[in-house]
Amino acid sequence: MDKFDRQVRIWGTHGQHIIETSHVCVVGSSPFAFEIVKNLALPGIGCLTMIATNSRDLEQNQFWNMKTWNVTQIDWNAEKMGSDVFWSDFELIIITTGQNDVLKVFRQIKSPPVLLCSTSGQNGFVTFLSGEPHFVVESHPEHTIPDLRLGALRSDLSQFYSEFLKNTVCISDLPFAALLYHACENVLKEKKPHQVINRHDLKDQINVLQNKVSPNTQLPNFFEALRFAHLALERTETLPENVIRCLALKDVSCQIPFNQNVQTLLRALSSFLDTPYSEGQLPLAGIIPDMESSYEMYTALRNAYSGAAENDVKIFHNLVSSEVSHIEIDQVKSFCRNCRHINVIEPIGKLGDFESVLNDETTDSTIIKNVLHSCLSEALKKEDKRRFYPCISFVAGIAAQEAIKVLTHQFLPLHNTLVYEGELGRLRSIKI
Amino acid sequence: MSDTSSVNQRLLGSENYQKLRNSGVLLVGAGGIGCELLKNLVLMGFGSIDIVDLDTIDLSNLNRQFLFRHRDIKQPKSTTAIKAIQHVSNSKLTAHTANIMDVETFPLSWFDQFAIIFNALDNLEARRYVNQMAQFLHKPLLESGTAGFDGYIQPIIPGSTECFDCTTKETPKTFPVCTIRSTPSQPIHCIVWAKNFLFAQLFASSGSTIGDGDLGTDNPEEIKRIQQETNELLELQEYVRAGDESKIPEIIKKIFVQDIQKLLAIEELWKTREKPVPLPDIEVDGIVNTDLSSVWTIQEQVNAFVLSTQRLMKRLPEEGQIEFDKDDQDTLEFVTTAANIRAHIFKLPLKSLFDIKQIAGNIIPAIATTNAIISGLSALASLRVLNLIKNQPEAKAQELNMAFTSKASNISSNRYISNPQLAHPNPKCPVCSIARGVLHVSQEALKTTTLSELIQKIQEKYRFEGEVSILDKSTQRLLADYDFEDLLDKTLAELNLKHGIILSISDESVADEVRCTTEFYLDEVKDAQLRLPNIEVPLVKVIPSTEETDDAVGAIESTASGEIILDALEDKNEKKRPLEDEESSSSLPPSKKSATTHDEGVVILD
Repeated sequence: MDKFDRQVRIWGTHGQHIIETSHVCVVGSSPFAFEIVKNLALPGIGCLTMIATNSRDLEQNQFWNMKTWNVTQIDWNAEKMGSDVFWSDFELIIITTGQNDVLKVFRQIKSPPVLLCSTSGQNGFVTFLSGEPHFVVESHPEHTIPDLRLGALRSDLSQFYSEFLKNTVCISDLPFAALLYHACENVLKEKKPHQVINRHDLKDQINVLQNKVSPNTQLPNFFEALRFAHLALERTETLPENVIRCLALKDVSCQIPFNQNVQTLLRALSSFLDTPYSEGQLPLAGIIPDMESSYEMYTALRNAYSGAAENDVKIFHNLVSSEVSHIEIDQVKSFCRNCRHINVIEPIGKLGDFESVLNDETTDSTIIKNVLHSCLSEALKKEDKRRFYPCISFVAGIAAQEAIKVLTHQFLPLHNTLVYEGELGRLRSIKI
Repeated sequence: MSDTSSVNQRLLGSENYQKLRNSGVLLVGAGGIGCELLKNLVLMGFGSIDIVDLDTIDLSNLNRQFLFRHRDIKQPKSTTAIKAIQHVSNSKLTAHTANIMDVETFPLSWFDQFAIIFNALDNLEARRYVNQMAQFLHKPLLESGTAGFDGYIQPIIPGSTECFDCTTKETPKTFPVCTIRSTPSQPIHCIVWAKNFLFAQLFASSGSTIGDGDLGTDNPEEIKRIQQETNELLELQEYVRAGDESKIPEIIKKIFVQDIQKLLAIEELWKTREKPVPLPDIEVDGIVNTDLSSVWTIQEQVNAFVLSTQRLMKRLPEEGQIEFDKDDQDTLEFVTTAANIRAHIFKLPLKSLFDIKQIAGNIIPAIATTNAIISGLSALASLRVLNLIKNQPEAKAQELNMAFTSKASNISSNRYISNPQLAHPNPKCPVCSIARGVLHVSQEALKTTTLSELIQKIQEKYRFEGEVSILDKSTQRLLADYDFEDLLDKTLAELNLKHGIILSISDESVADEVRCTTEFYLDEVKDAQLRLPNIEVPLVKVIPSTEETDDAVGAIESTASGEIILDALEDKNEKKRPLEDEESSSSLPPSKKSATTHDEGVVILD
């Protein structure tokens, strides 16, 4: 495992397992195609197949000794490769050529997800095609908001907080979450029913509490309570937009096992949200941030959240099991922990749809068209344009990067086309 | 490869291509970015490429450094890289297995032969050094780095654009000694204690410097205890050296029970903190957990601690001393278990071996694809810097771009790469805002010239009106200033001033305008006696030292997209950006009541 240590730290051993058991096909044999193969062989793609569309290329690329990377090389065969069956074993197909006979096949067949990409001179593009939505459970957001639900506490948690405070003699050691709960309670006492708490009232109340226990010095936990007061005002009962988008796609037809599993989990999520227990809220993440507090109090709070989250997983797992049997508890756990951040993108459905957009007279369409057509021409001059290495290295790096994201269903992949205009050093992400 | 060259010729134009063929470039680093970049430079057809790396190949390099194979492990990176690519190369390739900061091997004049320098480094110190050399020589430098899905390139044109040091870089995190030795409040403190203190004391040569100097506490009892403890550990070191395994229970008792009891006796420490609980008696049963990504029970920690100590004791007679190495399973297990047992005692969360490896080893995640993207960008940018792109008007330095890949998770937001234009040099930059020149001196002159004679010559030539101070930058040694004159009569040779040393001269006069700080690189030559460079040392307005407020405005733009990221070529280099552990990188402050922290008396997690 040591060889992959530096990348396992990004996508985990489960991500690495997916990579090592994936079948990927690269169509094309230009230096660009070889670069992509190299970039996929390095992180450990289990099975790589390369289809040569131009035998002249193979002789010229002896630099890459494919044997050391266990890559299967075969020649393009329009007859054999013209049916769905040939392609169905691959999890991902990367098409690096605009050759007509190749594209013709892909216009007709139903294929696994495709990355279509190429370079010419200093320009290049990458685009993501798939007949079904692409779900991402672990989107690895850069910043996460602590999942405390203080704005709309479920009854199990509010029960915990109220007992916790009942047993607290002195509030000077309370973690900020409990302080916020306490302050909200006090504010509500003075309000009429159905009046909402505003930030100003809440901060005043925190200062009142602070003055009672320590009038002269600012205690760190009260400082945190002021800093994170917004967490108590968040309306957690409404679902995030990304979750709503995912739920809307829970019943569309999907063939990819990962997507099918996510859809099963989404259907279970939908039932979960309908149970009175959940009060319409997502399962808890069960992880709380560090807080200034006494050890005992912090531990009690942490256990309350992790306990409630475990309970959610149990209930959720029962809902899943009532529909299918093959989803393991670990998958349910990961889904519950990440469900606030699940996401979905809808790639371009068909190659034909992509090609029809290219007829528009925009800069991006023109670049893509020219890049694609440079592969068509048999003329040596144009073919040579595809051998400008810095550009090849750059775009092939991006293509392989996106391939890894698509395969692991971690991180959001491109949505859905990148165009690189090398002369100006511009890379644009566009949605077709 | 004639085919490739004809392509480049057509794309760049014959004239530009000829320039490229006549250019020599320097590539510093043959790791993740280095391997990729070497391939790109070779296939672009540069006339000659020199590659420098002092490192050898490690198993964990093979997920991205594509020129290396399993059979190459332990071989030098630079020579292996060249061997692997030679057969397709039309360039003169030269490998150097050496430290780029070694002035004997790589004097300043050596850097001068290259048209451009590519940095593909993994540590701040070497990056800073090469940046400085580029500033001396006015050489364009292409700086680059990656961390996981993120990466950046930055062309540096001395005199025209900001240099590597124009913006403040994140430096290694430091901790007060007392936090490490007496009052840890985060798991990281226990890891630093286990690695830099306990392990270093017991097995490594150096022992530890923790405990000398400022301890970051004023509590006399605590200071006394820290000093005592250091002495007591010498006794344990004896046990370890003697190889007597029957003493292991005593070692455990000493560090995890008695030392804790002695800390508890200092009542002052625990008024605002949670008290630690000494390790209870644990019967060692030898059962180990083999799941490296799980958090082991305290029983499993103690078992593994005993076993790793035994293994290290067995190795000690033969090896003499053992340095911590994240890829050395025995040292990693010792540090992991010692850190976790201490964390348990102080009621802090325990961590898995996998996680502690990342923290203790300063591991930065690294993947092939990001390196391919960044080295492609770096190669493309070099053509722009050298003005070799056909049909493009000569780019002004300010029109060049730096580039950052945006966070992998933000990709759908229209900004896969942000490429702001380069900023102007920061007028307060300690590196590029000062005057520089090469001072040529013969061995003879070193022996005969005194320091005061040198100062006088400098004052006369560059019209320093008043007092100056002179500093040997290589050792940060003050040689003379207005109230330190002891060394004035010594010769330069007696002061050990020799080839490769950088002298920094500052104007100490009290005036509104003073001469700009000037640095001289000492270049030993045969012909010249002592020749001062013909450089302009301008007068500059004295800026009252206030808090940094308005400076570096231009720089903020360019760094807004991300902190400086270093390429992770995991290796022995010690100045990498340390990764923060999860707790401390969250937006929330560290846990529990951590009383006063101190600014001084710090331990660097190297």
